[in-house]
Amino acid sequence: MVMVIIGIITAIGIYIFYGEFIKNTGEKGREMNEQERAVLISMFGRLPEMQCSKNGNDEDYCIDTIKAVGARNVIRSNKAYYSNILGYRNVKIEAIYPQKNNVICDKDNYPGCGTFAVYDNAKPNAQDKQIVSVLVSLYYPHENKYRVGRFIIEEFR
Amino acid sequence: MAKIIKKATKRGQTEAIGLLVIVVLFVVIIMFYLAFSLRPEAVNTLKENVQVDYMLNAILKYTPECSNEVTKTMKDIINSCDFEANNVICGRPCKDLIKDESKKIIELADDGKQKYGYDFEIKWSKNGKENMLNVKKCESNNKITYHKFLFRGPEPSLSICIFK
Repeated sequence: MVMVIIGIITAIGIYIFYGEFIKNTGEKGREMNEQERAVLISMFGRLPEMQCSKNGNDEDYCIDTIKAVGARNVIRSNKAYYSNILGYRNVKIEAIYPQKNNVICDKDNYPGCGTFAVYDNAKPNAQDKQIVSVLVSLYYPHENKYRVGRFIIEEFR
Repeated sequence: MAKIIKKATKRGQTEAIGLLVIVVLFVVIIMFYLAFSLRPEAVNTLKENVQVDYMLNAILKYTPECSNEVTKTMKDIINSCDFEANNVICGRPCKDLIKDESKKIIELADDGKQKYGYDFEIKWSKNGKENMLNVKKCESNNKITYHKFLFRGPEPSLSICIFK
């Protein structure tokens, strides 16, 4: 009888332990993903391909829109290198203030556009899509003006 | 008779040890459960820190449309604003201009999920007295503040409140 009770209690213990362990691992995984996205966003704000620079000084967390147009082509022509770093993600920057403009930018329609699709690599048949966005400063060198945009990373799983 | 008593004593001892093992197991399980459930929830502030960095930069670098004046960033406007006299910059009293434009930018960050609130204030001191212009306010115990020190004068700071 005692052995049966001990067996039942041990089984309950193992069930609770593994239940909590699996829950904890899931939470840690989600946390790591969030951190990875935050690091990516932070990295983009300092990427020389897009970072603002004035009088030879780099400005953090600011996107030079002319460079962003060029970066799209640079990234496309070196897709193997960038997909190794960025994986199955889409990265785009939208101008939202003072005016929103959904026209996708390329070297022919800049500056009359407002969406910089920097990197496109959507996963075919993705089960899940996580979106993270932050406000970002957009620099328009031909006007010497800064506007506000939204940095959007779409992650496919 | 002595044999029966000895047998009963031995049985009693075995049951007592069994009971002790059950109690010890119970205690171990409860301790494990408490250790897992009472562990303080780790707050991952990396994402919020990056968010605040980007946002404060977006506010301070923004160049409001001024028809007749040389383009100035919000940082320049904050620096050249006399917060007591409320002088005119970009055709408007500077305090109103700073408040309106920064409020509009902060409201753009609202994604409708009600997870974050923002707190933006500018502190300055005059004649040794501390003053403050409060642009937006949020109340939460879980606040991350980011200060941006300009070369001299007013000190804008942006906080992000995380609502659980």
